[in-house]
Amino acid sequence: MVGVAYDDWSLRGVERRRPGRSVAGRRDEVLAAGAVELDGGVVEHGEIVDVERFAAALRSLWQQAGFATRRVVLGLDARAAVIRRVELPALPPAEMAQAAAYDIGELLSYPVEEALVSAVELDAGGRTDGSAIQVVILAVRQGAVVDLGRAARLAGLHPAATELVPAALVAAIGADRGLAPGSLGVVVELGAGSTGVVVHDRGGLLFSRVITAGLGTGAASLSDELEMELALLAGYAGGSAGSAPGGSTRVPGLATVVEGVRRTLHYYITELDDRPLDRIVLCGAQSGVGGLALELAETFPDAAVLRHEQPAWPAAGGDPHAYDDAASVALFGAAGRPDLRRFDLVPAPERARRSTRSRLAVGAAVTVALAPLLVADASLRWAERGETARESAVAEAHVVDLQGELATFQDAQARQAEADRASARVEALRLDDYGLPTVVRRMAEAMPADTFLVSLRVQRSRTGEAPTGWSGPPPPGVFNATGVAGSLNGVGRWLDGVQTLPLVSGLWLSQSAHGPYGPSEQVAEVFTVDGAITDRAEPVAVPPPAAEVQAP
Amino acid sequence: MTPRAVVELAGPPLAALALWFGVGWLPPAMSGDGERLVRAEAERAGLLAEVAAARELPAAAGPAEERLSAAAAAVPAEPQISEFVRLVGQLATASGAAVDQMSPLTVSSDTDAEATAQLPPGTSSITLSIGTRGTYEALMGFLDQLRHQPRLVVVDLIDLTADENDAGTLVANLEVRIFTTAALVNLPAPVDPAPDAPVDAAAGAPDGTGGAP
Repeated sequence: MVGVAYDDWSLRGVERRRPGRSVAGRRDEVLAAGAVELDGGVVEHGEIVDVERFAAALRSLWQQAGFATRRVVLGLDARAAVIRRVELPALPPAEMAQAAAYDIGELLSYPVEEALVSAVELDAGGRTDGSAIQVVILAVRQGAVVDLGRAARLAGLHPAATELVPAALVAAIGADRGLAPGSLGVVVELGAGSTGVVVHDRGGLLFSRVITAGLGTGAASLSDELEMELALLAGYAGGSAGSAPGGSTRVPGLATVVEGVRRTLHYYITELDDRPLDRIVLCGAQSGVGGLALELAETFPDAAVLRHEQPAWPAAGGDPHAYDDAASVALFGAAGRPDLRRFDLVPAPERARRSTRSRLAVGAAVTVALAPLLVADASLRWAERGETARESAVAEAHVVDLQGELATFQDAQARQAEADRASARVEALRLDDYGLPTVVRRMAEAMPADTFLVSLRVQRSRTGEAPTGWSGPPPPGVFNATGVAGSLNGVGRWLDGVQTLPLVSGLWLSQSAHGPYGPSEQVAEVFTVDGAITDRAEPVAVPPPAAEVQAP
Repeated sequence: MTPRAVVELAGPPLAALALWFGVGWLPPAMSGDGERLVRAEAERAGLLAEVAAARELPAAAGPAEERLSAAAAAVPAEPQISEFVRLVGQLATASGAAVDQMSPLTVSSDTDAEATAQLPPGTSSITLSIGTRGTYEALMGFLDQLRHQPRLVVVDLIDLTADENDAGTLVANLEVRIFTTAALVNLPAPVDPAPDAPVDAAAGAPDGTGGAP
């Protein structure tokens, strides 16, 4: 991760190995560092004026330093921000943002609608009662943050975050370690042309001010602007501008810088926070100027004055203190401080993009979570469909089989019915057969030895036909026999024999004549007999035994 | 939450749901396999009941085909008079009797009120006159065989007379009825065979109208 910091004159970058969870106390390795000068008119008062040229400077920085990554944390210059510590009633977050914007709006030189306002509640010395909280409000012109990110993207970089440099400094250089409870810490960043004063409470940013005076070339004398600022601060500090304590003049501008720091802190302690100063940490390219620490120690006798320790630094990296801000931005932006509340420096368009990405990510996560269920459900449904289709095919095939079986049954039943009808027809016809040949045979068998028949007529009776002397309904059959017997006795025996037949009734001897008969003229009894046939001579054929219909 | 945010948040899941609906849910639901299965199961249940009921029906009297065959032989679908003429000749020859003449006399149907006997529905009868001669045993054997062959023959008249010229020989005039399921209307007039002409079993009216050799 590369951290980038800038002022009106130069652009600095530091690549650090990605640190662990905690920033404080770690001597994380610095992989590369570099700086390029900025032409006039690129950055003015901490805000990028020419985005294209700033992007070009970023590209030059990457070429010069040879950074291995294009992921960058952008450090926003403290001069682009307005910070104010106020007390607000405890409100919901949305209303808190509105109240903060309203409160800090009066300090801005531009409409508050153009500001990116972020409020951080102070956990130390925060709530004075149940209805009010201490908050630090940060306001940045939204265009400044947007331009910074746009310049980075124009340079082909991938901005990971934007951090306010003072916040990164107090968090990253470990200025809060060992700070006494109830006291304040100060970080003084000493540059060539400006001096930053940051007041913090165990890493939480409380106040930040940039003094347009440094210990470098061209900053030996107070600028008109600084003169005016110091004159304003003099009213709070009770002193006069330019009267540096201690009277040290060994380094040009040293007294001015010390005086600026003194008045700034005096103003803060007098007007905003009366807690004692516990520690002052010096950093920046000019933090090693001789006599500076001593001057500050003499000015603030109750506070310990320390110089920031540098992490491991590459041999060809130049003065490491010149990169304190960029290195802090890299470390703070990359690792963060979970124990510290950060200012939210995400511009509205980026916030919208992030919200979009976040919502899409949530939607995608839901989709991913849902996908297995849907796929499983769809698989089950397709499997069930296949199973249902197979069962349907089996059932339909069974239906076809059953239809065939039923049709076979029905055919068999139809054939049986047809056979029943045909058999019934035959049996009905057989019932009409009275077995006349058997009648003839029985009558012949009843014939005595001396008697024979000359003629015998046996017939089924026609309608109304009956033998002589017959009374009652016409019989089924009639017969007429003419016979020859040796005597009347023979005639009588024949009649007796025929009369015993159960199927014959109503015998009527219509004639019996005694005289010669036949060619031999033998004397015999020639007789004629009529009779009725009343019953069948044969039993009706019994139908064959029933046989079961064979199932197909 | 703006509509766009709703779309961004709910879009992917809704798209997944739409995909699931369009690919995973709709095709199986619209395939109709379930309805096919229900229909087939219902039809199968009905058929199973019908088949079970058919199996429970009382057993028929004998194999249908044998009974139909026997019935068709007894009462054929066609008059088959020529076949009957040949049969009479064969049986007479086999019995030692001679057929002097044979001719159809009347035809009756089941709707004929003047019929000798009431006929079953769909049945017609043909009454034939047969003149035969032979010994008593030959004639009785002939009659027995005539009545015990597959075709149903009902003898309605037996008129036996001793042949005055040939002792031991009887002359028999017979009236028999044969039956058919054909609907007979009119048959040609009877044709009397020449007296004493033997009946050629092979010669008969091929058109089934009967007749003498």
